[in-house]
Amino acid sequence: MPQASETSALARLSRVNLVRYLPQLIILALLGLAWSLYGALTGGSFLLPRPDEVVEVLGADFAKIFESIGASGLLLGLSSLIALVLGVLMGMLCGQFERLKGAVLPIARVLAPIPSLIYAPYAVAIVGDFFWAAVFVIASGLFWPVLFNTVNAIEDISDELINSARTLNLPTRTMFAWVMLPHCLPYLFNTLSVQVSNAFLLLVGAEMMGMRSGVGWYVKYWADYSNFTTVFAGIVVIAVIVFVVNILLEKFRDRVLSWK
Amino acid sequence: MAADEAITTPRSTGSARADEAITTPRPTGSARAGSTAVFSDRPAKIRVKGVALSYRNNTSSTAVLSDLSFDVAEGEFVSLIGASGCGKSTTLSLLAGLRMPDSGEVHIDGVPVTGTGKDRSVVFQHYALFPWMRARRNVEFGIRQVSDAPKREIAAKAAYYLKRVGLEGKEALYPHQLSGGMQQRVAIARALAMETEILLMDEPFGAVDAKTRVVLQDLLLELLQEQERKRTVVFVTHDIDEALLLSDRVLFMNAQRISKVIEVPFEHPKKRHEIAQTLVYRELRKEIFDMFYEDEGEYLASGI
Repeated sequence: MPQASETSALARLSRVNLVRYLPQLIILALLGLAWSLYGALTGGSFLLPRPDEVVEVLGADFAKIFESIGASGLLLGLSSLIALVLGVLMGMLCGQFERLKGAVLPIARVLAPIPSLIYAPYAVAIVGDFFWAAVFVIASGLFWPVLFNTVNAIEDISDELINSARTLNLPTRTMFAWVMLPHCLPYLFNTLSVQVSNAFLLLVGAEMMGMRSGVGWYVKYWADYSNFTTVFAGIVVIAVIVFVVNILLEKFRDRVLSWK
Repeated sequence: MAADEAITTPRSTGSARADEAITTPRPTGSARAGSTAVFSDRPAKIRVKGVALSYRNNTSSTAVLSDLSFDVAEGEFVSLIGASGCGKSTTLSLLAGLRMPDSGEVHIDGVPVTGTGKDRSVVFQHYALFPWMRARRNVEFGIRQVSDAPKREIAAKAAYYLKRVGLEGKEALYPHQLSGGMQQRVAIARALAMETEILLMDEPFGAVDAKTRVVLQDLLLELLQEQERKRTVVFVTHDIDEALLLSDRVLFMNAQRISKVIEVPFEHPKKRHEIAQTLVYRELRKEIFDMFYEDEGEYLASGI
């Protein structure tokens, strides 16, 4: 009996997901159809290959693509984590100390719009290691939006809730970990989902500086050889990764913010 | 507490204002009209003396409290009642330690209040629960701040109090899944479970519907009655019936201070229907009602 209900729950879940993603799936299918049609009619061209050619590359170069996905994942994951931790910490401190906020925010507003890829040569010169220079470039690009949104979140916290927390005599650490941080989480998830595309732009840029694998490097490398079939394969891979990252982020958010 | 024992006696205090305050004529007949009752004759758990407070911004300053004095005996239930803006919530925030007076003294057990403390728990009108914690966690979180008991004990105590406020089976819900009345039940459970000596309540039933309010008032009475050690309670409200039902004494606030002290002579356990039938109740109710309007002349003007 429990098994039966489990199955039905699973069926319900997949039905919900299917309905939820149906419009996206239809658009993808139409794009695929148009591409296939183009391939069948023209036989493909130098700049825009046929889908079967791309699929062939994906199969043939599987090992290198797989390695690149891993390398990019590590780079992006580490950079995002560093940006999140530093941004949230700094944001909370700014939220707590008006003076610090007054000192930091005007400077931050000037620094934030500067594309962090500009720092790349300096980062390489200072850090001396391509991987960590890339981490620095991506993390510093993501740091600002995290900082601004955390400051914003702390400003939004209601006096009633703060007073309630104060009457419980919370130690500072508990106040940060169990009141401030959870309050900021919805803001942070919003920031992350907006910044996913920004993160991939930064990733591709950062991987051009001396890396030897990674999805951004892969596309750039084969574009330099004008091998557009392989470039296309790389673009498909990036598209799939972005799609999956977005879905995972959404799932993770729904799980963490179940109290909303 | 028998009604006659509750008669307050004049006390010589440093506060001139205190002497000006007038008690209600005793409805029981043993009246001592004109006696001072801002300070009770029992040892004070809470004492507020000559407190003044203004809200300031860059351009102006608004006096909220001036020469506010009263005390609350151990185990006493005192209501602060008055029109909105009379400073009753501000007074409670002073007792909670969320705000400091410009001048004057706020003492608890003879010690000046310098901030929030583990001897006090507070129930607010709303937005006091943490939205990211389930009902159970909200209560446990409160207990943990005042107790070093092992996890299992804290969990058991939280479960007990949630059950007592009628939320059995709802422990795992988040605040947004609970109605306003149920959220207040959780807040009350948390405050009681912390087992602090002093309970401060700032219009805790002000935002719930009339029917729920009656249920919650009765629940609060029942829960306070069954406590081993009687809590000292300061309760802010603008509801006359609520004040009369719950309190041992009602302090009427007007013009930034206590303008009148009313002894409530009903014996515990109070029964809403029984006391509402009595003449005393109706007289007290009318007296407070009139006080709400006498200053402004609103009563006559509005033609109620």
